[in-house]
Amino acid sequence: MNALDYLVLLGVMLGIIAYGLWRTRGRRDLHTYLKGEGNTNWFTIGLSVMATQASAITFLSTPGQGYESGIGFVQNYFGAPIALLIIAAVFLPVYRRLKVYTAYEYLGRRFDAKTRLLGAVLFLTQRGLGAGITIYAPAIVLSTVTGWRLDATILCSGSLVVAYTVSGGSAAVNLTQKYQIGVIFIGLFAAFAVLLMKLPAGIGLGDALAVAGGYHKLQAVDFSFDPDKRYTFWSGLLGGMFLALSYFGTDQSQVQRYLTGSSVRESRLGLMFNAVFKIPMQLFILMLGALVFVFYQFESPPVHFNGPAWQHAAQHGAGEQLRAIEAEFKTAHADRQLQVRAWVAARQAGDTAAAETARAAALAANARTEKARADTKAALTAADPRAVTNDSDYVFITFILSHLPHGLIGLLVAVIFAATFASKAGELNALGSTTTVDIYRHIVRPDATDTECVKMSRWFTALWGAVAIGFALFASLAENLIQATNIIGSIFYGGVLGLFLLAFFVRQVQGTAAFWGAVLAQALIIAIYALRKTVPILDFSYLWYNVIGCGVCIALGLLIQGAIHLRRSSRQAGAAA
Amino acid sequence: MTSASPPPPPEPSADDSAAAQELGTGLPGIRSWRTVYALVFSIFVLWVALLSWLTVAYA
Repeated sequence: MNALDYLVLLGVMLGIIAYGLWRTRGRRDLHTYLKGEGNTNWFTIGLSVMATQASAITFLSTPGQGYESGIGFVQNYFGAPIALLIIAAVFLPVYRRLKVYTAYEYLGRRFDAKTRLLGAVLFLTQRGLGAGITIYAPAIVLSTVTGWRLDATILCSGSLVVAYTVSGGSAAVNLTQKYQIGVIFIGLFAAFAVLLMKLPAGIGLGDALAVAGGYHKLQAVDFSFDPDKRYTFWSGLLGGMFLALSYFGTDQSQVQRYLTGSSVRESRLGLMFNAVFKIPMQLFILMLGALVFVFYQFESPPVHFNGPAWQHAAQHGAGEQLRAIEAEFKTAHADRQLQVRAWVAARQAGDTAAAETARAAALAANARTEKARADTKAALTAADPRAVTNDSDYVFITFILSHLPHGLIGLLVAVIFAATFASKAGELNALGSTTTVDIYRHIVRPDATDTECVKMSRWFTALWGAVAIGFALFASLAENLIQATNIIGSIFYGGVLGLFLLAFFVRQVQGTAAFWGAVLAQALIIAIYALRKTVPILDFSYLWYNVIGCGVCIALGLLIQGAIHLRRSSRQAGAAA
Repeated sequence: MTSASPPPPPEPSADDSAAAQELGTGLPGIRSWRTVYALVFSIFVLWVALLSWLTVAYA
């Protein structure tokens, strides 16, 4: 990165924050601090909902997934449009009619205080556990590839987002998110355009797609019922729907976004905006990864995308072995490059047989490069057993820093920070609101004035910000970052969604039954997750946790309510006798 | 033959206009939310169809 990149990066990020704070200055009462002015239009709500979900992890990890495994991950989002339709039609009008600040307030009105508290505590636990990831994930990747200090990157980005969220509240979060997501889209479209322009002369989008398809990177939909496959149409539709229903319908970081709408209409249209654009947006990001893969068929990729980790191992005893693997990788890549060019030329000439022969040779050469990559990871682990060898999160940022022009590099790094800020601000805003409304004002100080609550909300937001920064400073992640985030969400979401579905759809179930149903369902999911490595039957896709947690919560809620009803009936019968 | 003139429509109250704003979609040509939901669902089905075609076409 040069001076121009830093100028673009700082100009974009600080400009958006300063504008957001200036536009929302002077918000003092609880309503405007937590819900904004109540005049947010559907477009802002739609972008705000999108920005809260699309963290920096989305823009670092998802292209890496596209590069490694193709675009099949898009199936994970198939349930989202259906979930958003249900939320717009059923959940939203109830939240609006009851004029709640948080989703858990509704549980208190429908059930009782302890169920409201359970919903709030599960949300705070889940978000608290994931709090550091959204700051840590981009910081570790950026600091590794740019040489910035990790702790300084975490502290600077974390402090900035905490400062403007505390100061401006919900309105500032919504407003800044709108411009941050704008920057994100501009950056991604620019990267896509540059990627296409950097392909060799004579190779267009059609050829690039054919090459990606030839390497099985465009297997978008898999209708098989194989439970061992992590992403299929069915797991995406059903598991993804439950995940999205929980996330968009019961997670305060999202509920708070659409409760800022000026009417049900604005909030609904904001949700519909996401129902329409969620799948194409994810597809676009995954496709970007698949096209980076095609790009590296013609350009030399590194044998391992986490260059500093490779260099560290090379300097600590594994140098000779790593350089030998790298030499084999380069030979295999040169062979692959020749075969891919022959494949494209034959395809363009309409010679199907020659194209198929060249494709088979390219796939064989690609298998050799993949073996070299696997050997590199094994060598890195041998050199340092604690080394994180998954380099897919480094693919896109390596491409950005190595192949984009200056200025655009700054813009793309701004994209990563914008996404970090947008999602973190939404989370912190929700954590502060829930702690204030559902814990402080509900339990600690029921007679607190609005002024006191705003003050406490600011303190709680700052406190959760400090927790997030603390987690980020001491975090260490082993798995793919986006999966880690989704796994944490899936462990907690099922039970909470069960609570809300009981509340909305099963009128006869009351507080105590719903409460214990959710507690037992949560315990079951935690047990399944803890035992998945030792009991093979429990080692299935995490997306199913949402379905199981929700189903068990509802079933137990009904059973317990039935038992309570029977006990009451027998007591009454006994008293009458 | 005479026909009784229809009664004049009641004056809309502030409550009515607020309710109408909440209930109406405000979208040109689309009056009910059911139509909006059907449209959004159709777009979802189209995306799945497009992605299925992509999977088969580039297999």
